[in-house]
Amino acid sequence: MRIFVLTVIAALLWTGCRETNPVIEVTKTRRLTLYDKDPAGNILDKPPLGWRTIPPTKFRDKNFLAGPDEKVEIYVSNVNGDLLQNANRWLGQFGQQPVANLAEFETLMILKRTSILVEAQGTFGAAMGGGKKEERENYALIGALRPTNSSLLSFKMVGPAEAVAGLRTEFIEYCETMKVMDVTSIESDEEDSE
Amino acid sequence: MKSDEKPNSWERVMRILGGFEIAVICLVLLFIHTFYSTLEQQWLGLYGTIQKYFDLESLWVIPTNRHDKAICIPLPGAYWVMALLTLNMTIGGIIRMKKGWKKLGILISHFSIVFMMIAGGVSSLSKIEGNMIVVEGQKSDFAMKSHAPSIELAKYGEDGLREEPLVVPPESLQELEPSDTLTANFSDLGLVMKITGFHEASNLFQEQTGNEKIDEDGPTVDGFFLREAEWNKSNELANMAGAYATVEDTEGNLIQKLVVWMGNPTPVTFTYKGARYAVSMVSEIWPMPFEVELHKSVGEYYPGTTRPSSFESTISKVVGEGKEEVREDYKIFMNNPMRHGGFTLFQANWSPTGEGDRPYSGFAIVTNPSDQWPKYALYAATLGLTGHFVYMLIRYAGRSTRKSKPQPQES
Repeated sequence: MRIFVLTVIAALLWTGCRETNPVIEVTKTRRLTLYDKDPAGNILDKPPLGWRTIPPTKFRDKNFLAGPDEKVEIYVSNVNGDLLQNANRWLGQFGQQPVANLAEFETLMILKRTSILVEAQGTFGAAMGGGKKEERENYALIGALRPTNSSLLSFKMVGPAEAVAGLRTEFIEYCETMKVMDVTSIESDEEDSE
Repeated sequence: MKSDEKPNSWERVMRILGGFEIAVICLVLLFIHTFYSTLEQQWLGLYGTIQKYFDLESLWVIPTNRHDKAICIPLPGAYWVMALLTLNMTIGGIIRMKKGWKKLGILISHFSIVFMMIAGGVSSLSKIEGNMIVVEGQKSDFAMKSHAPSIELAKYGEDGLREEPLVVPPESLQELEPSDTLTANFSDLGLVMKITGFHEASNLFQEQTGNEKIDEDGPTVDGFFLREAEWNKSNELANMAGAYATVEDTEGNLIQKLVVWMGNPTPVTFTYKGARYAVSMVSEIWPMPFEVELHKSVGEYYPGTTRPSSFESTISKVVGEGKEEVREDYKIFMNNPMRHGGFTLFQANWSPTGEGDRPYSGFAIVTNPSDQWPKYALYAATLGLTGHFVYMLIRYAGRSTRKSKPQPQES
């Protein structure tokens, strides 16, 4: 009987003990696999050191915060519609008049395709970070739109005008240095990202 | 030992441990375990039930209904009941059993049953399970361990890809309550990560999008907060673990506050001493010693349902690289796994994706040193029982012949 009682007490103590604030030394590493070599969406990007990745959201595949006090939002998404339509929508968010043709925009090469660069400055009237619409004065936008076979790849940077201007070169370099990298395919390498 | 001689304490212990009484109690208990665990599987799910009833750490089990009310007296954990039954069979069925050629078949079958029980124990202690998803036309060389949330910290290299990550293992996370803080020291990097607010199943919400916070929610970090979710029993892989991670230097200076969630396809990052680091919560990644190339993935549904009735995958197993590369082709289908160096790869699911997309195969990967032991035990039991049956048959036939032999008539 005594042995039984002692066994029950020992069992209860064993199950009842739990460290609430443990401290561990992390030394265990893991061998690299295709999980690490396969970039999301087969597109390898190299964001500048000052950009911080935060969780993606419903319409944003990649989300970054940058600039002083991380007031600048940079995000990558897929959007529907044509180039001009989307470029004018962005201009409209700053109360600017729509443009008639694409020739008015600067161009850049993103993933081997000619893309357009859209810039606007003034009072930004659209929602940021999925929040409510709010007017933000002295804001700026730099965006790039790259056509794909079915939609558009959109890169957008919005924030205080001075901070956005300071990140312009980094933004363009980020867009232009993206690479298609499909390491998991067992078929012949594809040239394009679609 | 003479019949009037009293057995000593050791003999008494052996007699009790190897007796039929304990065997009967154990078998009744296992029947009750099976009954209640099958019942509870409805609301606790398969994984939860196995953990509750059959895990090594479950010393006591209280069967409960779906409202968490006890429906039976506490039972000893099934693992320990089976351990006791194994001991009972070893003592009663092997050690104390009368030995001899006549009993050899019985002895072999008893031994094989004990061996099968030991195989179950070894499997429970050392089996590792994971899932590998491969899309048709693609390859993979890793699996993700089931129910094993881990946090990985990796530095980005010059090429924009992550270097070898340091891993906070699932064992350190799974014991945590949301109010606990796990301090993970990354001494080689000069970093300390304080992990708190851990939930095995959670949802990540963006505060700005009108998701109102409740008292139980975690703090808002970068506009996001975590909320505990109900454990999904029907699809346990859909449970997304999440936590908050505060990264500091060794002096205690704050570097970055982060929120990590298993549902995020990309890691969150911070910068320290001119380097960029990725932090992600993932089901523990399990590198394989081979690559699986999926050439064809086919399946069929039961008529009028979306439940697959059969799956089949045509794969190549690739080991090594360059000149040392060895390729072998396999067809994997239900009950026909691929085996390689202690790894067994079963087809666990199959899914045709949307129109224009490629189907994929889901493989369950198991490594279990005792994988083949039950098979050997069954062969041995069959051999033993067959031998004993033949022996008994011959003996019976011999006796019958002797009995029916006509006696010589006296003249």
